[in-house]
Amino acid sequence: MKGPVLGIDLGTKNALCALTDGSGAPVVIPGRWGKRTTPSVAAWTESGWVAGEAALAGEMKRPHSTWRDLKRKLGTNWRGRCGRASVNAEEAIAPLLALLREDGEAYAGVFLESCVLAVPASFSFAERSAMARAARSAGFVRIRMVNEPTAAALAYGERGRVLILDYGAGTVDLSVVESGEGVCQVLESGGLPSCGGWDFDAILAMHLADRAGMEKTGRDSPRFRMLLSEAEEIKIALSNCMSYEWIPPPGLGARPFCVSRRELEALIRPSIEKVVSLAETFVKKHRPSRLLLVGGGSRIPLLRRALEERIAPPGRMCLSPDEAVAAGTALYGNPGGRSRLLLDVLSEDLGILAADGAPVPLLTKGMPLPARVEKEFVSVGRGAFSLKVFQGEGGRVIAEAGVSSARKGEAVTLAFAVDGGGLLRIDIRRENGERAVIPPLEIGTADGWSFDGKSDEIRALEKRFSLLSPLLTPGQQARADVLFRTVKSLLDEGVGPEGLESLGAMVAEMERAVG
Amino acid sequence: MPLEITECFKILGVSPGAHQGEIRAAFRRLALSFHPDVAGPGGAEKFEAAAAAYSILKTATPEQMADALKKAGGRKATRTQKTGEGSRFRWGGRRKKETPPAAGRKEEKKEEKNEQSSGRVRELLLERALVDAELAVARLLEKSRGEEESPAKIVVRLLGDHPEVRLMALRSLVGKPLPEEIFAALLDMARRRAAEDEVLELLMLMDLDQERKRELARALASRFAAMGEKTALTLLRLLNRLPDRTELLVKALLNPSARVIAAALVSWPPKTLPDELILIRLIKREEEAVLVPLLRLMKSAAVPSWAGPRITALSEKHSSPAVRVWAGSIVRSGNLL
Repeated sequence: MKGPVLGIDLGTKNALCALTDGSGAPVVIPGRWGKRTTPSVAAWTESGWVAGEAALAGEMKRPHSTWRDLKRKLGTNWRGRCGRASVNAEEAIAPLLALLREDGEAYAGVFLESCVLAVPASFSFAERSAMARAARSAGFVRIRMVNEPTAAALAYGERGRVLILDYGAGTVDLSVVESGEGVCQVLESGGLPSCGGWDFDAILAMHLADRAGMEKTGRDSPRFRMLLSEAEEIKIALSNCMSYEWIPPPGLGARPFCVSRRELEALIRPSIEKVVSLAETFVKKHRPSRLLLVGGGSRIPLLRRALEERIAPPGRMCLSPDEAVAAGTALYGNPGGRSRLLLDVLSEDLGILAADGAPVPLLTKGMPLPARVEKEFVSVGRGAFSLKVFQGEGGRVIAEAGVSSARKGEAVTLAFAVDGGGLLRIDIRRENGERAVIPPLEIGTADGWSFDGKSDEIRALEKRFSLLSPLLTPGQQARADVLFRTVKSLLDEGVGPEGLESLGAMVAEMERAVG
Repeated sequence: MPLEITECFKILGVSPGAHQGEIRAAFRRLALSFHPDVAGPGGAEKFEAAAAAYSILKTATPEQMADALKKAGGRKATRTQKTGEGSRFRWGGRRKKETPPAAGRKEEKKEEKNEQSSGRVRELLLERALVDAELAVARLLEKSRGEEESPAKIVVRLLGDHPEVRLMALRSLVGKPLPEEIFAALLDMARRRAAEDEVLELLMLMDLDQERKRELARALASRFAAMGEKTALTLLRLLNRLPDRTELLVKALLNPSARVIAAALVSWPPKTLPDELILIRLIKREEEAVLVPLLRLMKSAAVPSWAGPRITALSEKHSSPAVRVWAGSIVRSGNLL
């Protein structure tokens, strides 16, 4: 990747971005309001998109076109109304990413075109590619993805086998990572999509409304939003004290009362229980030597206590728990002297559903990335059929592709490639040479390595050339070698075809000369 | 086609029956040299083979392992024989180049027999083909390096939200020819964002022809009314370089600042007047800075009749002597209609 790479931790509630400094250490970048976190809020106004603090400030004015919690809406069919039109989560996230990019650019003084995005481990490829498309429309050209807990593990410098629990506002993710000898190897990643700190705010807000005897209002109403931010404050305060006297803002029309920590814990216990038991299964399987907590939710006393009782006391991270993920993405994007090679794995099975609906996994969970597989299938019927791609144990369909007019018994070759950037590309090749790419997952990455036929071409050229090379002087051979290598590296940058043409012309010319 | 367990051991370069820890370490070693992040796309194939082998060994049952160990023991003799011929799992060598030379040599011999005289010509032709390709690739390389500032990239930044980023984009444009889409983005930015001093100064440095300068000035002038005094004065200096600028100066007269109005009036073309509504508004003002250039302009052109009483009043009552003198001279010269 050319130039510095911006590491982005786009959280459900707050977003952070980071770069590395001259010595290769990660630096979290302050935004234009001087804060290190930017609220993950985007809003549509009469004069266009606004995001971050500006969007949050206008929330009360336009509650219906201000959106929070966008990350978890990615890849779903959620649509936000803005005037007569509507937007999907992908479009709404783009201005937020653009804002982070600008903050990074203003800080670094150069244009940033590459980024590493941290995503929850539970994100499927459909969501990942939606995120990548959003980043693309925010002005990034080269995009990579990394699982959030994995990024945090990269930021944590020590050797050994570690279980990282990233307790975020929206999602909870776990990774078991073993590091040492210049490598940081992920053994397993997994996550729970809907039991983050943000959900606790919502539960507590409902509880407060109940206790204060307020009438129920819609989730989008300004009243509920006010209640939510109050709930968040109480939740944070209760991490440090046993009871908190809530003085409702005058707009809510309620009397002050005390909220105790026990009350909150009763509300959040089921979610915490789920997280701890998932962590337990990870511990049983991999026997990590250390347990680390990152994310805002790592401050919840109930979580710490439950982990301490059932697993082990969480270790010291020597990094702000909120910034660990962002720091890790910056380290992943800008490998300097200090960083280690990250070996990531696929977190869920990936394959297609056969004609009878049975899932046929092509890439299995735990495969090291980048991974690629090609498999031939034989169509069982005639005419058009659709190919369903699934991910995960439940067999959730993440994409579909139509194959038109197939013969009975026709062989269809499916190639699944997950690149190092964590994005999936599926190619379908038919017997008649037709090719198709499943649209929602195709984001046209420039570094489609060794797969798109171009490197087949270059290999064919190399073969033809090797027949000729004995006729050349050693000096000429060395020059030709350099040429081939240059064109290959150009191919990787996406300026391939012309280089291939000129090489092809050269080989053809030589063959003519030799006769 | 699932790989045999014994094959997997070979790929990873560990002896059959190795401990899981050894297998993992071997995989890591291979990854460190062939992972696409380290070795570039060239290493992908080898990395995939290693990854496939590793994931098979990782999930293999103890029985399978024992089975593999037995087989390996039986085959030991054959394996030692094989090592010489370059098995597919020797990473270092470039096998592709090893077989073809034989074929090439055969051809070479044939050539030698047939036409020895054309050897020199052939050499020249080969050299030419090589040089041509080198030139083409060099051009391509230069292009891929030079193209770093692609238009779309600048356009996104010009229309961005962060003033510092917009400035960076502008700075990168100075002294370069502007493609159509970038210029369109510049216009859009000028219309949408409040202009700042530094932005204007950079715009002045841009390499623009008359037509584009005019278009840009028009876009900038549309925001005159809301502009700060200093910025508006800078913009006026920019306008002064354009011929036929009356319609743009009109916009400057909408700025509240007396100094801006005065500067606009000073560069107003002689013997013409702004339209009446603006004139009425201006002549009602009391500041000397506005009135003096306004009266001078009015004196050079024909003064409309409705202005008579106001000018007479100014010549008698205004506190500034300069205003009284200019008004008086209009009254005296009698060019009041």
